[in-house]
Amino acid sequence: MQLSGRPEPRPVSTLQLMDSTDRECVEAVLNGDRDAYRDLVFRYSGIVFRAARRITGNDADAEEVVQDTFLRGYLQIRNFELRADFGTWIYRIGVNCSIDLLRKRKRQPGPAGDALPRAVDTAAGPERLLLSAELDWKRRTAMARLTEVEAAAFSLRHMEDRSMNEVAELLAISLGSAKQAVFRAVQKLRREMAPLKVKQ
Amino acid sequence: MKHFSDEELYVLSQSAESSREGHLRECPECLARYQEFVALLESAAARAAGTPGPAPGLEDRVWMAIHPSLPVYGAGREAPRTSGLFHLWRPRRLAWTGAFAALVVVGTAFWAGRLFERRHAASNLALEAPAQPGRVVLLVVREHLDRSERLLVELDHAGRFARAESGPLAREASDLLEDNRLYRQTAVASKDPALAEVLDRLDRVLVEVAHEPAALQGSDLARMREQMNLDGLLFELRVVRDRQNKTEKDSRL
Repeated sequence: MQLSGRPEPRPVSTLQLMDSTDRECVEAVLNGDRDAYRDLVFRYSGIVFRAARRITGNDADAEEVVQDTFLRGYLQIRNFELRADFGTWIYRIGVNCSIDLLRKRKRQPGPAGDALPRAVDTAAGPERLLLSAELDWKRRTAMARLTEVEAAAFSLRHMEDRSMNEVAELLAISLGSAKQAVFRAVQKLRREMAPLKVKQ
Repeated sequence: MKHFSDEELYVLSQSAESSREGHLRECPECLARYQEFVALLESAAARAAGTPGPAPGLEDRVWMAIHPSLPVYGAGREAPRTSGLFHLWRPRRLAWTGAFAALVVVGTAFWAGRLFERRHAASNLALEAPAQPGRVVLLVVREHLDRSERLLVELDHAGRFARAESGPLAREASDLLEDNRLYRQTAVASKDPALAEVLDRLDRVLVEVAHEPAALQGSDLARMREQMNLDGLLFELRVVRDRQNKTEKDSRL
């Protein structure tokens, strides 16, 4: 699957060059050059981080996801098809690692970034600032109440701007299930956020 | 007036369909719900646009964190050069490995227990015998009854043909006598009166035969058959033996 609509699209010529380099890196790794993987880590850490940040909702978890993603990617690299796009492949692993982390967080409930309201608009007045912080906290709480698949599906569709087909493929579910997951997430978030919208 | 469903409003909020916008202008309720969807999706898009990038040095931190855990692969797509057990020692896999090992241990113990139980079923039966009267007697007395039956048949035949060499019969009767007394006492203790009675009658016959002169005369044999009702004793002995065989089969099942 070629990723379309990426947040940070690259020029076509650079993309082709990168693809070629990706393949060389992978082949070097498979031939015993472990350090060749470093180039891939440097090239795709940012993309994986942003996706993970949107799904998990905080920087610390996103960074943990990036580490786990590249470790898992290295250990599975013998299954990687050289004709495929490494960026797409590692991105998919990153989404799965994000879902795994959300599951882990639900099993071990903790503060995880949603305990303290955080201001998002420092230029506004005190009342507006308070409401904004409350809205942000409410949003985090609402996201935390979604299932892992719902959270990932919503983030991919409405924050990563993936098509429904891509969402389904990334989550390894049917198109109908992907649509249902996104819609359930939207409905839950809408109900959770509705009281604050009225106040706002 | 037919209102939009939530799903229709959600779809509408992503792609403005002019043919449906007329209803939204006329229906404040649907418009309010529609605006909720639009606000939610705009908020999500705004958050996505404002998602902070990683802190400086992310790539270095990731590389330093994972580098020690990376095995070196061999040429082509062969197995990694590192030990096959290497990956088992990573924390997450270690937990799975431990769980699997525990499962194997529990499964093996369960299987061994079942095997042990099956192999010791016979001894368990013997140990349980005191709780079921007659079980010990049932297991050990069968051979004694078979030998006694053969002796009685020989005596019966000897009586019918009025001749017998009592030497072998006397020795056999003498051998059986001691065992017969022991089994009779056991039958009494095991509360098996039918068997005890048969063994008691058999005891008297065995005493007679064991102490008879070397050559039994036809008159002696006839008297013994008549007085001791050898035919009746033989019949009762067969009945008791058959009953015990049946009981043993039932207990096996």
